[in-house]
Amino acid sequence: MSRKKTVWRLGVALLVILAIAGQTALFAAGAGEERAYPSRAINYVIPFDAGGQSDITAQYQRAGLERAFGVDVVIRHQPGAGGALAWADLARSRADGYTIAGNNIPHIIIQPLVRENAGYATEDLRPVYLFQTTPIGLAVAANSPHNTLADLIEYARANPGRVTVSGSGTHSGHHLAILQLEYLSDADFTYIPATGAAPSVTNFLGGHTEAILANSDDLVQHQQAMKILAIGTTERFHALSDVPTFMEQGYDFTAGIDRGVTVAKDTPEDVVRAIERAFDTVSRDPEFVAEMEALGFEMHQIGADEYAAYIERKQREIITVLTELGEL
Amino acid sequence: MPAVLQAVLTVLHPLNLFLIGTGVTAGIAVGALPGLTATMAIALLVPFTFGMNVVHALVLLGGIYCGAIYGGSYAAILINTPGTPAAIATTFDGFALARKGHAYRAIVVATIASAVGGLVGVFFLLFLSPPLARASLRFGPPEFFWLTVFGLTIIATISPKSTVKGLIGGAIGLLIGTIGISPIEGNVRFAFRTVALQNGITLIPALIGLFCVPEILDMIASRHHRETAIPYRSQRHMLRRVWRLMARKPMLLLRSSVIGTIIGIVPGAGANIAGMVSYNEAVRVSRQPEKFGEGSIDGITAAEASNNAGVAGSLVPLLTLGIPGAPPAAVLLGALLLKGMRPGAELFTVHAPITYTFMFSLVIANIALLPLGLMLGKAASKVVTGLPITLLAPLVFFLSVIGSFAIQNNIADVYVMLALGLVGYVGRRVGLQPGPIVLGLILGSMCEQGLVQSILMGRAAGTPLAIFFTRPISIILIGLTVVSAFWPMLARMRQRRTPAIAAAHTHPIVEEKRDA
Amino acid sequence: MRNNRLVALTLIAFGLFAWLESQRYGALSRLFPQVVALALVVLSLVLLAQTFTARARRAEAVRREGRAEAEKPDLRSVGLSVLIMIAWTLLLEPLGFWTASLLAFALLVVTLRTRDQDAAAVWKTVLAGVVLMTAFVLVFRITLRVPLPTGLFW
Repeated sequence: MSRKKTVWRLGVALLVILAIAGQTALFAAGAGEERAYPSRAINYVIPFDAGGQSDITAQYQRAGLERAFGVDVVIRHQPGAGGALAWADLARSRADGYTIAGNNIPHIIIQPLVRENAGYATEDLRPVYLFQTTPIGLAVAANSPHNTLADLIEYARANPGRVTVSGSGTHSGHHLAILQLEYLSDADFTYIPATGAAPSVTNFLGGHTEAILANSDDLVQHQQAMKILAIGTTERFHALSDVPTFMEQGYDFTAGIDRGVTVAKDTPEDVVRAIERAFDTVSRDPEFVAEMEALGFEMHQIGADEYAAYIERKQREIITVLTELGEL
Repeated sequence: MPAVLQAVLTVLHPLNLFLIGTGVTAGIAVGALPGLTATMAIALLVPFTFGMNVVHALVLLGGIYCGAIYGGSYAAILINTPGTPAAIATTFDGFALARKGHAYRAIVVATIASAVGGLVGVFFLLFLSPPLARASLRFGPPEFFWLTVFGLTIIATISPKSTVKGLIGGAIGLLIGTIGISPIEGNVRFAFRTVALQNGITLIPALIGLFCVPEILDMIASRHHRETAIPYRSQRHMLRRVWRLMARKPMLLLRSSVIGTIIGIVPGAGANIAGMVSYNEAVRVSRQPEKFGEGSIDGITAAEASNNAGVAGSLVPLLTLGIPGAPPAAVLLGALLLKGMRPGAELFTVHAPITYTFMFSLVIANIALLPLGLMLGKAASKVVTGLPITLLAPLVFFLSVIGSFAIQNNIADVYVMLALGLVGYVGRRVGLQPGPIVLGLILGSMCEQGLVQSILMGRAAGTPLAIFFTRPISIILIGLTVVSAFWPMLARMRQRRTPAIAAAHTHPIVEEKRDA
Repeated sequence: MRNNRLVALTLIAFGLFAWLESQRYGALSRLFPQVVALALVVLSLVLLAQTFTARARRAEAVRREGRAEAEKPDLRSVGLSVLIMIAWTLLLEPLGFWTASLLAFALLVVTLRTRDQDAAAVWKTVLAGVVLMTAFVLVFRITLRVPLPTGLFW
């Protein structure tokens, strides 16, 4: 009995010593001379729930990223406030490139604009790579009397506020899309925000709203039950090639959720470039692209500079629309 | 049919049986620890299934889901803290019974009820998924609003001592639930310019805080008078004895299971409130409602049959429509998509063998609950009845801290947990119980969402109020709400009129107070 | 009953505050919190009114009698434990999850020591806690890769 106890105690002591020793070793390594990035595991923060689109993409990227970086990539979820909690944390984190986070447009642009304290500014985050877009499309039920975008807009103009449009939340990509459409068409819709894409689709499929703004993957999945009137890409979307774009129909805007990766703004230039290279390698892997496209995403290979310019352009566009429509 | 037969054979493959057993065991362990939930368990394990064959992955995750929802009852019974949100209603009678020294008896009841409930749920999932999923779509914003109002009437049932205080607790919960970004205009409410509160109060830390911290402090306050948190009594032939008692009321089991399945199917309601709705109904139908809350076996049965039935229920809209009925189901959706399986019709044609294998694995998982649950349950009750409070109290607090943190990897959630814990302790001392507060918190955001969405829909249609009162399901829900709200009064009148008859009827199965 | 009066008054203040604070928000953002705040105030008023009824006074008398016989809870330890718990959570980030937990745990065990526990029993308890907590931290950190705060130590 007492023998057993002694063994236990020894075991514990050993465990404690090992833990401390391991930690000290890590510290020593960190405190030593600057080592080439990356020399230890990279945290890849997903600002949304597990199981969502950002998460799925990251899970697919992980193996490729680990190969490209040569270190472990640890995916951790930090959901909350539409991503703002994670981005606020990133903005305050050490700018060493060991914490990288998914960033979504328009979220990171709109939140600092409309919230009194979002916890970060768009400029606090340094965009590194843009790899994916989920285009947003507008659809009505299969048995709706409206067959084209023109029909629907004409009806909405004649009956202001009569057409209800389901979408995934306030100040989300869907919300922005309806605002842009209202701004460009002078029609007046009633936007009904839900607490996410899934409940929004439920509301629409149950016939509780007349139209829906939905992500491309939901459109692909439920296309039997709806007529898709327009999609927010610049060119036709590969998975729904018979659906015209908003632009084709005279409304000059694109709608979608863009996903990329970002770091804290003071991250050293060579580290940013290393992350850019790793994501570029993964994003050019044909197998990865094929898998992502099958899930209903549009894939990009856009590096840091072009990405930053894109965000600036989007920011101006969003500020114009929100100001014109009195949302700011 | 060959697909179905093949599915049965696949499930019975030893490796799959092993994975189910592992999943259920791991799930029970996670669910049993206060602070660690089914959602967290599935989310943390999905990356491990990445390299697995799709059948193995699903079978394992399904087992974890079932096990975790069941395992939540252990913490509910042993330390008065729902191990997962689904087990809230289990605390009402489970802990009361444990305090009398019958912790293991309560666990046996929970085990049998969970297994039966789970099997009923899987039955619905296997045979009635498509029509049920279509029906669930009829639930629009007005229906959700009325469903939550109906849910709030449960407060009257779970606060028998003072209805006013129960309702006050509910209002506090609803108000706490409005912290954070508002669903329609996107205003940040009651955050006082802090970033952490932008996100609102997350359910899990609130739940741990309100239930667990007061219990820990109570243990501390009374540790000189009792050695362990709950007394222990050895019980032999427990399974047979409990089963005999429960078999006397097959309708209770069946009704609770069906309620659980249906609430589980309605997307967004989920297993979290299934247990409470079913508990409410059990009290209402019972001839001796006053015995509930004092260790009634019926109460545990209602809560546990229902929340495990809700597991399969939440998979109905998930598999047929791709809409998760509950948070753990949302994580499962991600796992399905990672495996290239898109929910919907395809799941029942192209992927039919996999889908049916997954469904049948749930049958096995629920059967496996019985032996595994009885074994682990006995161990768990021995641990809690055996540990001195000086060790148990700090250890439970440690688990609360780690669980609150891990749910969103957010340190602010730990502070929220402790802050609400202190509120909960003070509240408990003045008679504000955690049950109604948490119920308000769970229902609050759903209620507000339904309300404001309906108002927008009504405005668009030009008839702002009619939308609340003209839809068929809404009218049924309004009827249920009225009945539920006025039931205590009706019951009192009925009792006054026929006291003799009421007394003569079969008593609910309550353990006699031997300690008193 | 004095308790109930205090609770009612506190909650009325709380409800009024919530109502006023909500005034700043948009029409659809304040509707729900204001309705709930109003309900809270009304319910608290009912609770307040109840404390003045005769039945309440009788109940109070009965309760006082009962309380005299009941065991006295050890509120001093509760207060101390709460302080330790607060320190525990606040030290998680600066010291690291493991270190803060071990320190606070040991402190809590010593604080909670009962009359029939000798020094050996206390040490045994601390040791058991250390083993269990270390195991948990290792599983979370290494196996499940949950990023528990590391802080200054670990």
